[in-house]
Amino acid sequence: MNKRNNSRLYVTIVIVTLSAAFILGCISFYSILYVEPKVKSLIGSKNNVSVNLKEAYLILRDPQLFAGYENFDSAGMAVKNSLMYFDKLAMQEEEIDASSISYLDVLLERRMLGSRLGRNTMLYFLLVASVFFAAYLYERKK
Amino acid sequence: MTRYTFFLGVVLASTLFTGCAKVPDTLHSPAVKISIDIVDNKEIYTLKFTGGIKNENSGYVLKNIRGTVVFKEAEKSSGLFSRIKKLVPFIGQPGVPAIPFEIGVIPPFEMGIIDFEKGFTEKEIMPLADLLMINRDDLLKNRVADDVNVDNKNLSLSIDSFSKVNILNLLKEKVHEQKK
Repeated sequence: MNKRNNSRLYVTIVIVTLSAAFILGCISFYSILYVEPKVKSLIGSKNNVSVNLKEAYLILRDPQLFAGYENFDSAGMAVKNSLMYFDKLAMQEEEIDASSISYLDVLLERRMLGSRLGRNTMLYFLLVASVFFAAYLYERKK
Repeated sequence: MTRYTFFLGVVLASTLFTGCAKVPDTLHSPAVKISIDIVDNKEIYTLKFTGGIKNENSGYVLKNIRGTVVFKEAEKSSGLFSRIKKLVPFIGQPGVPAIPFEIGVIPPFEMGIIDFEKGFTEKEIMPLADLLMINRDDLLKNRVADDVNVDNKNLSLSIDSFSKVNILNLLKEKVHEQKK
């Protein structure tokens, strides 16, 4: 009986999972390495507090891909309320003072959760890719 | 080839749907007040209608929302007539005044309030009073029927026009204006 050679299937799976891991990694690490430190420094700045906090809010208003603002469970209501609060302040051109930082932290935390979810999913895909790569190498040896 | 067409169709459809704004289709806490006032020695029946429209979009501000609230008879039977009525949406109860409204801006997750007030004659208002099961004698005796909650089954909301603005662009404009 002829044994089937699955190496092409394994290679395809490795390519697909690696591509998915690459895309997820780019999105997640852009947030982890660039966006989040920038927001943290804006929130922590001592000068031009209102302008910097508004700048931080503008960045956080654009949601991370895996932490959108479409659906909220009971735990996410704090995020929804923070968005409503800051939208109102910004639309009425009011100042954002240091007392609102805790609400910005809520939004930053949601973004961080989203980027960590993306990073962990990337690691999962890398693991799947490595398993199928090992299977490919084993198939080639046979 | 057909697989690629299908895949392209799915991608295009999802792009189209993610770019669309949710149009409000429900009225929140609709309530009616009818009061009898004397204006120039004539009895005027003032109808006050309040209700809320929620913007359920997270990323869009709804602007210049124009529409109409139409009162209609609630479904009572599953007969042929009610089935035909279902096929013709926004058909109002004959003789009952419709409520036109216009709301300027509704930010994301916020509620826009319809606040309509208009005077009618007895002949014009009574079909609505009957529809809402307001006792005519009580209305004439008390001169007011206050806080009459309207079942959503008796209403249909029709949005005629609105414009949507991306909240992020709007906020950026505001913040940059302030910086100047």
